[in-house]
Amino acid sequence: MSLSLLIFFPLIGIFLSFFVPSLYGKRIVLFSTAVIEFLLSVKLLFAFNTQTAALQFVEKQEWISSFGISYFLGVDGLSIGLVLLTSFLTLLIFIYSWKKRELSFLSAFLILELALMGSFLSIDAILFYIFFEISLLPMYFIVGLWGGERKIYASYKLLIYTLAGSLFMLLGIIYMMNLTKLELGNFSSNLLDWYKLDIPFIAGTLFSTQSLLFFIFSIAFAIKIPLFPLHTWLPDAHVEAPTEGSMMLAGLMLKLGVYGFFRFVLPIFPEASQYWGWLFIFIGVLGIIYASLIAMVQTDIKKLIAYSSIAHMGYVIIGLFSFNIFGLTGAYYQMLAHGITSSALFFMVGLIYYKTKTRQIKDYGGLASVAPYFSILFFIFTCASMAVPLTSGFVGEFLILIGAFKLSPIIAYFAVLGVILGASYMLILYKKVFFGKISTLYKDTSLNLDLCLKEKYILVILAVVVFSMGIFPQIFLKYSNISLQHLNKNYQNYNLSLEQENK
Amino acid sequence: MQNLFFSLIFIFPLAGFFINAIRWNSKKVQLSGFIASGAALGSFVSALVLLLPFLSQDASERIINIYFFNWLEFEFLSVPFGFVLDSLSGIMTLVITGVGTLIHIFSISYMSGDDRPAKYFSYLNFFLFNMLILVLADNLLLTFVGWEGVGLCSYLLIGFWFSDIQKAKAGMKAFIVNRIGDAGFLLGLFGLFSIFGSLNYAEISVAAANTSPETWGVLSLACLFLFIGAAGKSAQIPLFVWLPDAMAGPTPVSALIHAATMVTSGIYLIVRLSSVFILVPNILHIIATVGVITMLLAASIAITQKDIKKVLAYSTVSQLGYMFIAVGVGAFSVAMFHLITHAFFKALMFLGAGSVIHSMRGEQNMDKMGGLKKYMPITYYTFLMGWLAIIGTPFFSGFFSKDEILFYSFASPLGHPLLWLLSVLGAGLTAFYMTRLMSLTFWGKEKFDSNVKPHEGDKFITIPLIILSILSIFAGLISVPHLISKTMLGHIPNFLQNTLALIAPNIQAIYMSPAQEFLLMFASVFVAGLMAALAFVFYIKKTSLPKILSNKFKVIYNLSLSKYKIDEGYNKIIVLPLQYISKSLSDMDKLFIDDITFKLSNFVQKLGSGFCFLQNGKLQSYAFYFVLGLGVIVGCFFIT
Amino acid sequence: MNILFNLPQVFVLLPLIFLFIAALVPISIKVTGANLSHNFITIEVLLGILLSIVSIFVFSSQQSLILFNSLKLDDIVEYSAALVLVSLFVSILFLKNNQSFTAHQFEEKIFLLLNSAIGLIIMLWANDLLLMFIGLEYASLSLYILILLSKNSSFSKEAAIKYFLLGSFLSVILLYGLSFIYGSVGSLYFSELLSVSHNIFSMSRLFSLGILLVFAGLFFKVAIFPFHFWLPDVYEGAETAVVSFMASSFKLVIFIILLKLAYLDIAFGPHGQSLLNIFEWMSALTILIGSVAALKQTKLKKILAYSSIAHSGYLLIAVIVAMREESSYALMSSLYYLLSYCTLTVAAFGIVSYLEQCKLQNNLDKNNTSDEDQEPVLLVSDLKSLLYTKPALSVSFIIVLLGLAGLPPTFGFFAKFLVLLSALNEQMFWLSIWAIIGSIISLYYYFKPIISMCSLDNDKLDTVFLKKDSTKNIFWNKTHLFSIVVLAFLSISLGFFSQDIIEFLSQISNAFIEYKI
Repeated sequence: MSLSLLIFFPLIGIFLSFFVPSLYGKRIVLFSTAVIEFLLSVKLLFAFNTQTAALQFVEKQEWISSFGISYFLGVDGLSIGLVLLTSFLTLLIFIYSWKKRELSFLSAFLILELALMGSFLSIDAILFYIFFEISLLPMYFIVGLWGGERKIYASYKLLIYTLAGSLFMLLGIIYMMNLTKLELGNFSSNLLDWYKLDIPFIAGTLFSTQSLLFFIFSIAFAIKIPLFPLHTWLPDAHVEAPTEGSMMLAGLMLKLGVYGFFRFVLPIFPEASQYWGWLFIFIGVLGIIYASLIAMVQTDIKKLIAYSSIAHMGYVIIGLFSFNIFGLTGAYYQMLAHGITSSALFFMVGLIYYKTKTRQIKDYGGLASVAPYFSILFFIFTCASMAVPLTSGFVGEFLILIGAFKLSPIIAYFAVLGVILGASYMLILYKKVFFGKISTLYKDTSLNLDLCLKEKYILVILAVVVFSMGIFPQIFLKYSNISLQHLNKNYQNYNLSLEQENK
Repeated sequence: MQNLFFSLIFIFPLAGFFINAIRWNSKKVQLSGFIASGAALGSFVSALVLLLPFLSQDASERIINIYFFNWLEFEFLSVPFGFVLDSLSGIMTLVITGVGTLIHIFSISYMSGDDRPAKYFSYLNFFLFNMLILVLADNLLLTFVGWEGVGLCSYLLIGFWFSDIQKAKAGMKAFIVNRIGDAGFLLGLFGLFSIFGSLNYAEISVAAANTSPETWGVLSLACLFLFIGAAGKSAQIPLFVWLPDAMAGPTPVSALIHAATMVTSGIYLIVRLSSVFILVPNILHIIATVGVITMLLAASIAITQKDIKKVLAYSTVSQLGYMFIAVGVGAFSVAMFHLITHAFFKALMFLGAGSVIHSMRGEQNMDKMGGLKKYMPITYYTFLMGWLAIIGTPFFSGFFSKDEILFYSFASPLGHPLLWLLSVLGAGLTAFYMTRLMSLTFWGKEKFDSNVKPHEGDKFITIPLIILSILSIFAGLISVPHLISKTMLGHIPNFLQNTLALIAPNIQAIYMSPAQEFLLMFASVFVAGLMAALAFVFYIKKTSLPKILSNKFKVIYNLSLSKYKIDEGYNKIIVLPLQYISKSLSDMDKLFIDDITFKLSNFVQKLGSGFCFLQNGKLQSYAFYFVLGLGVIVGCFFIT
Repeated sequence: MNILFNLPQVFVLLPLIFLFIAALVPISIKVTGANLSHNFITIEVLLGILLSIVSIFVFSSQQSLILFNSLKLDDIVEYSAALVLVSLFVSILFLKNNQSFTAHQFEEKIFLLLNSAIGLIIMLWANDLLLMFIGLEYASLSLYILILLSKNSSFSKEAAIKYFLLGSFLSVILLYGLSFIYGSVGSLYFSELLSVSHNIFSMSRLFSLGILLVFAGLFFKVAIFPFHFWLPDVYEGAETAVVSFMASSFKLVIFIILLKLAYLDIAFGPHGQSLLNIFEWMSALTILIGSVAALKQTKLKKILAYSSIAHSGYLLIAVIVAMREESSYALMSSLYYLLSYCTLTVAAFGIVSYLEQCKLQNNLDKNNTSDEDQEPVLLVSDLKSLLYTKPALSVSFIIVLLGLAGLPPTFGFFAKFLVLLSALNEQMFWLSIWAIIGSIISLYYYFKPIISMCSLDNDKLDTVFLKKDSTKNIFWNKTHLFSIVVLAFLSISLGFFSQDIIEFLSQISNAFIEYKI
């Protein structure tokens, strides 16, 4: 079960679609690519050995050997969940829009899936960086070409913000390669060699090498997550992005940043992350309260949900830097759960926007009496976003809070405020949009606001996933428990062994 | 066999919820009502089947554990979906499912006019399911799951008629205030976990047994947070504002959720963790004082309220205050006793009020009722039983439970005579406003206009009322205080105290001679009777008296009428500043943080245009720049 | 003193001779009155170029000093001469498709173009710095006249004059520097300079000043900071296809010479540090100007001009690194960068000239009053939804722009990565941070054409400007398009074979360094 096939299958799909004459035939080919990609990832999941923290299905070929850059792929507990999430969300998007949207839109999503798969599976820093950048281009085109009114502005902002961070990360990667040259004798951008390095760290100053590199990498990923001061690109990008674009942006692009922390920042710079951990926890807590407060007064639904995802990501950062198994597992699980809930919420907002052409909350009202199915499903995902128990949101947040409490109770006192504020802005949204008297916008019942069959299927699948993640977290955590414990236990000298090329 | 019945307790309400949820827009009230009540009854019966053998066993083996699957599995923390049925949770289950079934039956006719009955009954069944999880869970986290699930159902049911925005607002307010309590619950849960290393009740009580009591420290902080959680759910002082607004929901909902079951979960939690709370006396003092203040405040507001459901709501808050006093002074099984009796007579009165409102076609203002005795005999007589119980007339259930609380508030080492005095005053106030309610609705002259024809409800309304009235009369016998049982009725065993002895033992009261105890009992009965007579005089004989008194004590009257302006106060202190902060934050976010990128790009653009200015296309300027550049380069070379 | 040529040394000059004959043939036939068809001339010239490329490698001799050691041939120089001829070959393909270029005096323009190539190759092979100067002047002169002739719009005349006057001014500076070097060291032979610079530990200040002035003279040609002002106007004025040759090969040759001079270990002398500081500041400011000045531009050629200034800044970083360190990383990475930069620039300007022909065609169809040679100025807004009218061209343009911006899958990314790697290897932090900031700022104007090309508003589709290709000579038009697509394909696929390229380049740069030591 080769990982390269999993990564480059979308490209094969796009290539094949050129040879199909009819337009409908091309759509069928693209749609089946997404389906097969999902089946491949499910096959990977079943073939995944949950008992070991080692890298599995390893593929390693020398690429630029004079600088130690190799085409090195491997999957382990940390990335398996995200691989599944990528193919699952892309499949849902294709189910919804493979007939509606034009071909270039669909192939942009396939390229985005390719890039995301690549960055989740690559264990080589340069390979990761290349896929990390490639994933930005289709997102730039999706927002820039099929976006709303201020799409050009939003796409530039998205591009410049993320690239500014990632170009500095390139400097960080190159400096790390120089470090490997100093310590191991030759350049190497292979993560396993990086894990072996002990980078000089002086506790007091910011200017010791490990602290500097720690900040370069974490700022690049913080922009992607996004964390508090660097978050202003997300609301604009979400407001202007098309429905599917928002789903992918919220569902996966933010997770790239968190995955970066898991794979790069925590294992490579253990002392620095331990030392500067409090700063990121402070930013996380501040982010939660700040984003939740702002979400309460937003007039645009998509902006409100965008700020809510900033708040959820604040939790993830707290979980990451709480340095205990609860926090890490909570952060990992919250990342997956938020992927599902926020993409579902954006999908539904997109649906209603497609019919009523407005996103302003004040234009809505009394939707529950007009579109009952829509409001029930929206309520399920609101509960998940509010972290009501037995939904996916609760398990992640509970573990993060218990991890934060274990680190120091004061953090938990403030982080718990997020639970209250989280409930208030989601309920304010639900009250203004769904309750009260029916708004003049859809007074005439000619406009059928409720869900058609296909949309119902997609949302019911997502609801089932949300509830099953809430009630049976063990099934989902089974795959990454060992890796998370491995990361949590041997913190100082973290290294991943390679499972022998099985099968 | 036990596992089957135990899981049946849950399967019935869950099945009821799913069946009704699937056919959610059906209009047939009877059918969905029967499904829902059948589910509640089934759960009651299966609980009864499990609990009957308990009577024969002795105290230590009265426990059944069941384990479905493992929810969270970690090295130091393993949270299973495990449930425990011991006498405490058994009694609570019986109360919930019993009163729940009666209220389901009552709702069949009450909701006959509604256009979405199936949805209503599915919410009710889902509420029962969550309440059962809360009560039967064997670890704190699973209780929290039930805790928030119950909050969610109360949100859905309060805002059931969501087309009216005020009702939706009330629902949202209830959920958010509960959420504040839940946040406290979570922090308390983390505190207990960090101290005892486990969330399982059995393990906690074992570990608590051998930890020494402490005056102040981490354990007390955790217990304080747990109390905040309980206060949020059981509507105590800081977080009680949501209960009066929750009356916006249908009356059976108020009866079930906001009188009998949900609001009592706070007390159940503290009684379940009694072995921990015993270790922190200071917190118990805080609980007692908060209980007293809430009781007096709510009673004083209830005196002047016009809306019948608001009066009952504030009376619930004050009765909950009584229960917290009982817990505060360490009399845990007495608190459970009052919880049970209160569930019966308060549910009875809410259903009575419901049938009054139903027959008066939604009229809730007591000024427009009166003299309904003639028109609604069954409702009147059952309501009368509830009234007698709540004001504490001897040999009624309310008397036994309230008297125990008064006794322990005086006699318990944690209690205090002032506490007893204030409780007696509260009992008097309760008698006053309940008699006022009776006289304004049932006895006085008819104040409703002619086209309203009050009529007796059909059998679905009357049967539950009758059953509940019987219960509220005889419920007192399950735990007759030792004083009375010895002297008068020949040694009826104090059934409740014995059963709860292992799980929630009462604190050892100071020895008081029977004469003193009689004196206390007599004092409270006397004060209650006096205040009842006073109210009777006020509202039946000389109806002008209340107006004279109200404008004489104008300030106090308006203060109490306007609920001490607590809602407006909260609005001013918390909600408006919060909105102001978030508005300024969002402007700051838009103008300041977002603006930095604008400023940066403008600076870069200006830099760009600056260089373009140099690029003016004239050869002479280029040559000049070259010479200048060269000069600077060579100059630098020579300087350094 | 063996004054007679021994035969083998003459063979080394064969490439130049073939080139000169290829240039001479069309012009001499024209003098005799018979005018040949342009196709024949082009084919004959292209064959001549191919012949000389082949002859370079056939007669390549190892490290031989010939013609009284005035020329020095080694792998680097041969490889870059071949690259110059390849870019010449491609530029001629672009030129043939250009109507105003082929309208009149076609033979003279071809002659001048080839001669400038000859001048460049002489510069490359010169061991004697004076001969390098002569080659430089020879190439520049033919370019000045070429720009003059290319478009008869007044703007190109003005550009040519500007370029000529400033060029001559700076070549005087270069000569002045050479005189200082000769004065202090006594010889201008590159090989001797190498040995001299080793033992005179305390290099005299005069020698360093000479080097500085030589560098300043060369910096003018590649538009480093204080001397970059001429570039946008000249590129604007000159014929786009000529610019593609000029931008790529001139920069390549001059940076090879700068690298050769960099390996004279000047930096280790007493004044080395001040030289390095000056050059660091110059490269930083060049990058800044290259990325900032283009933000406001609407003309596509101006944008590409400023991007080539920025790229000279990055190359200067590599030169500075070469000056500071012994290992061959810097030389290899700058050769890699030059290779990627040439492919991308030739492709970019080729695309712009193709689009200009389409615009000219549209102008002719619309009002066909404007005179034949008026060169239309291509604006970014003209590219509106080009993707939907000419997919192949716009996809390659997107790839080339991404390459110039240095974004991953493209060739440009690996080049920038290697330069940064060598820079960080030498702990040059603030310069690499400055390079990164420059490339972040430049993203804006690289993506402006991309987004306008791809944005599709169907209602305005018919007003889209560049709909039809020019219908003059279909065959040359197709070859023009084909060569663009090939270059674009190279610039995205070469990245994946960079291991072989790196091995080849480090092999030849190591050879150069061994010879030096």
